Amino acid sequence: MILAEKDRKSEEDALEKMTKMRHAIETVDLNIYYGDHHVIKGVNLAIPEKVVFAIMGPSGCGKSTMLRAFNRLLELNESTRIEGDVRVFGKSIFKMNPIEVRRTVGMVFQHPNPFPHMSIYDNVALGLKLNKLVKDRKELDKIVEWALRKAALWDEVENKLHKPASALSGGQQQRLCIARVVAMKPKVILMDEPTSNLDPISTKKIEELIYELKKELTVVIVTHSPAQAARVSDYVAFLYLGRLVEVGSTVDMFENPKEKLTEEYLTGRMG
Amino acid sequence: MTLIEHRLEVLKKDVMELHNLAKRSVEICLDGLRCDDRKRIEACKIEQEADVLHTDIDFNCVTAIALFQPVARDLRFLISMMKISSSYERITDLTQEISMYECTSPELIDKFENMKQSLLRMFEVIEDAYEGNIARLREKLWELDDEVDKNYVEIIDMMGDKNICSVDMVLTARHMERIGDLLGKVGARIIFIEEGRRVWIK
Repeated sequence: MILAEKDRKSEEDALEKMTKMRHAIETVDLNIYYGDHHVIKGVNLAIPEKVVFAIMGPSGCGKSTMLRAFNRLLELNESTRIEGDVRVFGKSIFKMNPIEVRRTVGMVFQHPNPFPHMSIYDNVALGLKLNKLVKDRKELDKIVEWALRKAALWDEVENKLHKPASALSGGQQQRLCIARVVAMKPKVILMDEPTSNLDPISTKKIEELIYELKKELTVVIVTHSPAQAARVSDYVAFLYLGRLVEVGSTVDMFENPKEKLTEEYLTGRMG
Repeated sequence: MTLIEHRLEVLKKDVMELHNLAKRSVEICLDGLRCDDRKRIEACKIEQEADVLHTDIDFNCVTAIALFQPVARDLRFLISMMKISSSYERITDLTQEISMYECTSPELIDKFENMKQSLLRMFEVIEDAYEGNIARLREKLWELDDEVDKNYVEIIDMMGDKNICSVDMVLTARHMERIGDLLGKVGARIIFIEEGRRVWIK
């Protein structure tokens, strides 16, 4: 087999592998409208489980809108209309209780949004208490520590668990938000540009954390930074003007994108 | 033109200059073999210029990668330019060595001339490819490299038949055959830049 054939084969293998893997999230002919504005246009996407899946594209292409559709956050906006289906592990989210959807599919936002007047401990414990997911204080302590360790924050906060969350730095606050999500033991975490307001050191910590998290769950990250998508993800989807232009393994996409639009975006020649 | 496009343009010009130096060194190497001292001096000068240019290209590729974190075609271009530049620099090393050897056999010189002509045609095919004409590039280079290899085998056979014992001649043939391989690799790299395919040209 000559090398050119080997290259093609490896790309086909990556796509085949992706198709065969169990899917954490699937969209079927997904269309989203804000009033008359058609934002997401017929997107069919399958996100395998236990991978980091990046959705990238220029501002306004519909990345965040699509992400918010995955855990039914979009429906909180009255002018939004959704057509098609979104499935989480094969089950339509529109046939599930929204609370159950959001427990299975957690979300981390662009701006760190801990409850500022609550303690670090209470920020992580709140969801567990409200949903009555723990029997007693001992179990709660155990899960809070576990979640903070998972978010690589425990060593920095173990002596100030009852201090307000607002006392933490921006990067620590974002990791606290991740701990808050992780504590609910979701199967999927959605991250909407989670490092766009952070310095390079905090960004590095979050990216390392994302890498660790994928061992146990699926991470879907929206980013406008191709460099970040290249660093953290296993698969990438490129969205442009609400359409899915290309999807594939990160290595293939960054070395040799198939679509001209993807190439123009990645090399900074778009617009 | 974006900043990175400007950098890539400058790099391409430098690589073209190195290509021309390597081509010129192949053109004159057999004159050195005929003891033309002026051409030998020129070959040495070309080799030094190629060293400097190669170092500059290498440095400029590394800094462009560090500063722009290129991907897709830009990344393929920069990585390939580093390797292509290295191949050209190596060609000037080999031709400099050839030009320092001596050959008194007209029959062998004729055979070396055949090899040289095939190599020069490989340079031309590559020039076309830099201009964007990469149709059948792999096949054209493969055929020309086959001609170089055929002459190499004939030279070695001829030396055996005529009882010519000359390290200079064996090395000249070996170096020219190696130059053919290096030019094949340059072609393969151009295909990688343009199409993202890894091809093998011998």
